[in-house]
Amino acid sequence: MKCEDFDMLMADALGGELSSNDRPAFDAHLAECERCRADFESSRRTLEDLRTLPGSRRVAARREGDRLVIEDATSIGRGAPGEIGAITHPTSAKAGPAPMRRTIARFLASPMRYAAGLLIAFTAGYALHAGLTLADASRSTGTVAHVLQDSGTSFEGSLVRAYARNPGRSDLAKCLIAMSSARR
Amino acid sequence: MATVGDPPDCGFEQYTADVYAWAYRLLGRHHDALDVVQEVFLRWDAQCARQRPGQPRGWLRRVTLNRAIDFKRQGRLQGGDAIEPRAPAVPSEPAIEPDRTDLRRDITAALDRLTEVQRNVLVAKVYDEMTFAGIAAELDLAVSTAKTHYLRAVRAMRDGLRRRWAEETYV
Repeated sequence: MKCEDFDMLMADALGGELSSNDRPAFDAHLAECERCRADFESSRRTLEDLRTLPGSRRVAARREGDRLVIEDATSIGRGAPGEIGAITHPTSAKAGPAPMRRTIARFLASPMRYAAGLLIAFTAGYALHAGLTLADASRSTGTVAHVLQDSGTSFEGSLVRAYARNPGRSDLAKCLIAMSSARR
Repeated sequence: MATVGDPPDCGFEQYTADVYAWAYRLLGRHHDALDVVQEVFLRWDAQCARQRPGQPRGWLRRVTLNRAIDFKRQGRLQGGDAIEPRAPAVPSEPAIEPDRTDLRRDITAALDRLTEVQRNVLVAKVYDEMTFAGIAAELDLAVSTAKTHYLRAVRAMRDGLRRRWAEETYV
């Protein structure tokens, strides 16, 4: 038998799975090949060393809600407190509002984002209001100009008249009306 | 009923004893082993949220051994291989003998030098006492491949541990 072929038998022997059929061939090669014999002996001794490492006590685990409780298996059923450790799932530990609510809460919790949100809302509101007023003003520009046609053409005069005629309008609309009147 | 944000329940508890045993074997301390169990538990749940591993035990052994070796490596970097416990000892936890600590450190260092599959095969064979056929099925290997990995792992471990027995007649 070649040494390469002996490897499979050696793996079986080291793993405790050498069959009785393979035993004679294994023993024969071991007796005749000093290199394989040394290899086998040192490997066997290595495995003995590995097996000397003490194992752990036997434990058991059970879920208690979000916790994974680890117990000494020997104490189970004896009435003794056997818990030797517990793990809490971090997803559960952080559990609070639902994800969407958490996202909103996180957003609102940031002062800068809150301020930015307010500014955007205010600007948008103001722009919307100004736009509506401007549209309204542009519709009534003809009427206002007609009323003010004999009141002089200076910008300041037009502005004063625009204020007098339409006290409810926005400043921007009054300015635009006054400019239009003055240009005319 | 599970809701969004709940941890997935993939039955980790049925493997906890194995995960703890693998971690403890390499680390030798109850609290270190628990730390590794916690990390593996989180990875297991994250993995389960995507897809449950086809061979749960093989997956868990691989991840546990990797985490335990990382843990040991970090401890070594931080000088944490001292014998004193980091946390109060659990009642009835056996004291760690210096000889065992050295042996465990040498074995862990030697395991660190193995490939992932060699390490998995070796631990499955030596500590879990599985058959080659069982290991091959669990790791999706041919039986002859599992044997080859085992033999290579044993030889690599021997070379890694040779220093330990330099004064003896270790071949």
